[in-house]
Amino acid sequence: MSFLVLDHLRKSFGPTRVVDDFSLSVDKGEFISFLGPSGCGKTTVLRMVAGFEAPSDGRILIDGQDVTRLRPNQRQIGMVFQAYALFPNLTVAGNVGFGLRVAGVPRAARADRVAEMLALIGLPDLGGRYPWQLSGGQQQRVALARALAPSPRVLLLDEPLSALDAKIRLSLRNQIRDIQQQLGITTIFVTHDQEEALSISDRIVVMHRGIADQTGTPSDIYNHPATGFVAGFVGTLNRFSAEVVDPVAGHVRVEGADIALGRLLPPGRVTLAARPESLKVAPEGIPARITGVEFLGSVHRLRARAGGAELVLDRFNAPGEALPRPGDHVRISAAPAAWLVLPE
Amino acid sequence: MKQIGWNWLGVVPFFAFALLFLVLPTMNIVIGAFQNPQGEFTLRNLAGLSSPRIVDSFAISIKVSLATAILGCLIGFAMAAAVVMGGLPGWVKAPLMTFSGVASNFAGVPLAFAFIATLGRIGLVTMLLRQWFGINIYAMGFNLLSFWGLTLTYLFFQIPLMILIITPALEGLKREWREAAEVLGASTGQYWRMVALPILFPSLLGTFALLFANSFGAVATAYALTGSSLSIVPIMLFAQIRGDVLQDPHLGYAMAFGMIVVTGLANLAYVIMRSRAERWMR
Ligand SMILES: Nc1ncnc2c1ncn2[C@@H]1O[C@H](COP(=O)(O)OP(=O)(O)O)[C@@H](O)[C@H]1O
Ligand SMILES: [Mg+2]
Repeated sequence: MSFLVLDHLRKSFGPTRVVDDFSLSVDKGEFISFLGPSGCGKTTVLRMVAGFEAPSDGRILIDGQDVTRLRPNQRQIGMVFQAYALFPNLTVAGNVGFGLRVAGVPRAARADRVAEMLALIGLPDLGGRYPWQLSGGQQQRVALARALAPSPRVLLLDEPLSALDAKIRLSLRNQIRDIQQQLGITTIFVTHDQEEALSISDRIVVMHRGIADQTGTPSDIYNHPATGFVAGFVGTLNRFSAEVVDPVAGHVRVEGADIALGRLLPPGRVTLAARPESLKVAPEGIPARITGVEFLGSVHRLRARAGGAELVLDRFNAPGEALPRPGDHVRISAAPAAWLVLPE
Repeated sequence: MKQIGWNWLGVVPFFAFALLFLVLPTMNIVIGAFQNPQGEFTLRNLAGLSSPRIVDSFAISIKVSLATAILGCLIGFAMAAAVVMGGLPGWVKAPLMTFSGVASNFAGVPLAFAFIATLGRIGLVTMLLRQWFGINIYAMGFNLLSFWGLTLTYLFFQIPLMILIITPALEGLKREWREAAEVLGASTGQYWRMVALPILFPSLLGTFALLFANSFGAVATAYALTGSSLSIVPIMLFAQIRGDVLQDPHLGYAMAFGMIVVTGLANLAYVIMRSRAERWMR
C-alpha cells in the first residue's frame, strides 16, 4: 500500500475546473515533483493535500488514513511556501520551535530539537536572529527546518526556490534533496523549472491544464515523453513536419530528405522531433543553413534553419574539431532511435 | 562647492503654518501658565490646578478618554476583523469604509444634537423604546448627559476611526502566516495569540494613543451635549477662556498646559511600549 494516495481528485472554483481526475500513489520516502507551467493547478493540488482547499471530489489518504475531511492542523504535514512565510515577530529559534510549542512540547526538549534542526540546515548559530536579518536563502532554509521540526508525515514544498537568485537556487535544491534523503521523508516538490524537477526527483508528474499528463522517472519523462506537451515542456525540442512514405517500414520524408526510422508509423503526416544533443551535422540528412554558433563551455550550441523550422544542436566541446560557420549549408540527422514521433 | 537647492521652498508653507498655528500657540500657553496677569513669573496658576473642581475635571476627562479608547479599539477591531478575515460578504467593506471616513469626522455640535435627538430624554429612540416596548431607559438609570452618555457619543467617532486605521494593518497580515501556523498544528486561538496579535500590537497601541488624545481634546461635542453638567477639562477650559467662571485666563493657560502634559505622558508611554513591541522590526 502506498504511503500517500491522491485518489481521483477534482477541484472547481465556481464553474472553472482547475484540477481534473488527478490520481497519484507515492511510496514512503519518495521525492515527487509536480512540474508544469504557471496556472496548471500544481498549487491547488498541494493545497488540497495540506487541507487548505477541500476537493470537489476524490480522496486523500496518508498512511492508510483518509484525511480528506481533516483540518490542516490535524494532518501532521510540513509545508514550505513560495514567499517568505516566516513569522516576523519570532526569532529563528521561535519559528523553528513553533510547531512543537503549539503541541505542548516542554521547553528543554523543544530547545534540543530546534538546535538539531538548525544544525541540519547548516545555520547552527542563527537561532537568535529575526527573519528580516536573514538572506532569502537562509529564510527558506529556516522555513524548511520549521516544517520538519515536528516530524511531519509528508513534506510539501511550493516553489520554495523561485524567489531566490540562480546560484543559491542551485545549492539549496541540492541541500533540500540531501536532507530529504537523510530523513527519508515523503516529499512533494512543486516547480515550473524543468531542470530543477529533472535533477532532484525520484518521479515527476508533468501537469497541464489541471491534468497529470505523464508520471515517471526523470529519464522516462525526458526520453519517452508520452504527449506532445510533455515533449515540448521538458527540455528543448526540434520539430519537423514529416510525410510518412512507408508506414510499415517506417520511412518518412522531411524537406526532401528521406529518413528511416525502422518502426511502425501512422499513415499521413506526423511531427518528427529530436533533442538538441541528438541532432548531428552529417553527410546525409535534412538540408539546413547554420545561422549561429555559441560557445557555452562544455558544448557548442549551433543554431540552424531548415525550411520554416528554427533548430538548436548541441555538440560536446572537442578542441581541434572543425565547426560549421554561420552561413554554411549543411545536412542534419539523428540516430533512428533518437527521433520522437508525435501526432501532427 | 555644494549647490544650494531650492527644493526646500516647497515645504515653507507647511512649516509657516505649523509655526503659526501649532508652535506659537503652544509656547504662548506654556509661557502663560507661568505668568500672572501682570506678566510676572509665578507658580500660582499651577497650584490652582489642585483645586477639587479642576482635579475632578481631569480625572473624569481621563476616564472618559480611556473608556472610549478601550471600547473604540475593541469594537472597531472586531468589526474590521469581521470585514477583513471573512464572515462578512465583500460588498460590506466599501460602504463600511466610506461610512467610517465620514463618521470619524462627525464630531462637535452636530453630533451632539444628533444624539440628543435620538437618545436624549425626549429623543426618537428613547420615545420609541418607551411607547413600543415599554422600556424607559431613563428610568433604568441611563442619562445621555452623563459619563456613559458622553462615552457612547464619543464612540460614534472613535469606532470608525479605529476601523479606518486598523483595517490596513489587518490586511497586512499575510495569508501564509495563518496557513503556516495552521499546518504546524496551531489552533485559530494560538495563531492569534502567538502570531497575529504580536504583529498587530504596535498598530493597536498607536491607534489606542490616538483615540485617547482624540477624545481627551474633544471640547465642542462635550459642551454641546452636556453644557456644564459634566465638567471635563475641555469644558472647564472653555469656561476659563470665555471668562465665565473664575475670570482668570491664566488659570486657563495652566489647565491647557495640564492637558499638554497629560497628552505628552500618554505619548511617551506609547513610544516606550511601542519600541518594546517592535523589537523584531528593522
Ligand atoms: N481560490 C481560487 N479561486 C479561483 N480560482 C483559483 C483559486 N486558486 C487558484 N485558482 C485558479 O486555478 C488555476 C490553477 O492555479 P494554481 O493551482 O495556483 O496553479 P499553479 O500553482 O500551477 O501556478 C489558475 O487558473 C488560478 O487562477
Ligand atoms: Mg503555484
